[in-house]
Amino acid sequence: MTTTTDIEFMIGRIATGDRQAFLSLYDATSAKLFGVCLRVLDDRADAEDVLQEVFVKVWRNAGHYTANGLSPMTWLITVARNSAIDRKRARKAPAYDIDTVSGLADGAPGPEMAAIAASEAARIGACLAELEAARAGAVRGAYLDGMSYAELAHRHDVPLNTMRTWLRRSLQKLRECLSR
Amino acid sequence: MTQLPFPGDDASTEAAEYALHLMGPGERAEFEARLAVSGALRAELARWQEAFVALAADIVPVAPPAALRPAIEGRIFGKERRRWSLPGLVGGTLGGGLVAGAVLVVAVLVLPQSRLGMPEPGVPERSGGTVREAAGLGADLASEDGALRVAVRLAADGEALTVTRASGAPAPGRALELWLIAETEEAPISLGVLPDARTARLGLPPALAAMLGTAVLAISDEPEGGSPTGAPTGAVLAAGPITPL
Repeated sequence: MTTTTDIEFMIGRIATGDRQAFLSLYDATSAKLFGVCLRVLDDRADAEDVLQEVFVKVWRNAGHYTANGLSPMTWLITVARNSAIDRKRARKAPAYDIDTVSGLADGAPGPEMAAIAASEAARIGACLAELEAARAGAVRGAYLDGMSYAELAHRHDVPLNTMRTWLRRSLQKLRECLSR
Repeated sequence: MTQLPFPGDDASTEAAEYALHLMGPGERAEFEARLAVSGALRAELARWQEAFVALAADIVPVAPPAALRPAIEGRIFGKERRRWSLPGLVGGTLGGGLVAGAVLVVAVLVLPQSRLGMPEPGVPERSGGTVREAAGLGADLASEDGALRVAVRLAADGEALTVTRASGAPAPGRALELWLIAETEEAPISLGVLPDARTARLGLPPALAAMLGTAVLAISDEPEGGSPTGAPTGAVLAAGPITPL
């Protein structure tokens, strides 16, 4: 399986214009990134389109990767997630029935990544567990489904400003917990 | 919760909102302007992104359709084909060759006959079932260091190219592949991998024969058996225009 170091190396090679490294990175990460796009967009055609954009961005921006201080998978997932959310927000009618693709089945990252992800997930999972269930759900909805404040307010049936206040307080508590 | 626990908490919450992509376009742009000048803010953002990404561990990987990979390749590397354009090759590889060591080879074999820019005869005309000798076409390809020299001639029947490798060989485990780069075509067309034999006959479909008049031939370094993609993948070792002989 592909390790974090492998992916970091591939990104470094891509920054020098290495086409083979780019294809290797695609083979190693496209399924995960496609999963991320699908989760946010809940539409195969859109997700396919966005995945193309994501890899074009990766090809173009690989040289700036080291400057952002992120681990390689975090960078790739962030690019995929942000691109998918941008697409989602650009769609005419906002989709509210997003929970159709919310299967939380176990993924298949490489062993090293899985280990890191598992401990980090446990950490943020534990911190989210300290929040009220609905508020933790709002944070997850924002991250995993790319929901906007308006969509979250709709889903939780509260006014928009209430949702903002909720979420910001939740984030403050989360930060306190994560800093412990 | 009117009093924030410690300074910077506001900025941290904004970084989290930014990481979650909850900001509107205006807020986002404003935050990015601050990010650009604050290393501390970038570090805080990275902390949030790393914390949140753990939630993505739950997202099931889904293999994208197989057609997506070549589509992305085409989108990104499509541009690279321009590297193979006629002016690029003639002015680059061949021009470089003239300036460098292979002056004799190129000058003697190519320049005296070169009529680039003039109307070319195109496909040899058949008269009474035989190809007129006068309409013979060919190209002489030489690498910049002169190590690889290949002469290509249109066979008398007009249905094949006779390829004679005067010197040079593929690197161990690699192959030399001959390409036709025609003005009318977007991408180079493979004419085949050069066999081990010094002289070889490569079949030439009529559609390709018709393009010879205004084309350039090139030899690239490819994996054994030839390019796996149908397009050149390795370095251009030698190139030269097809000229009347």
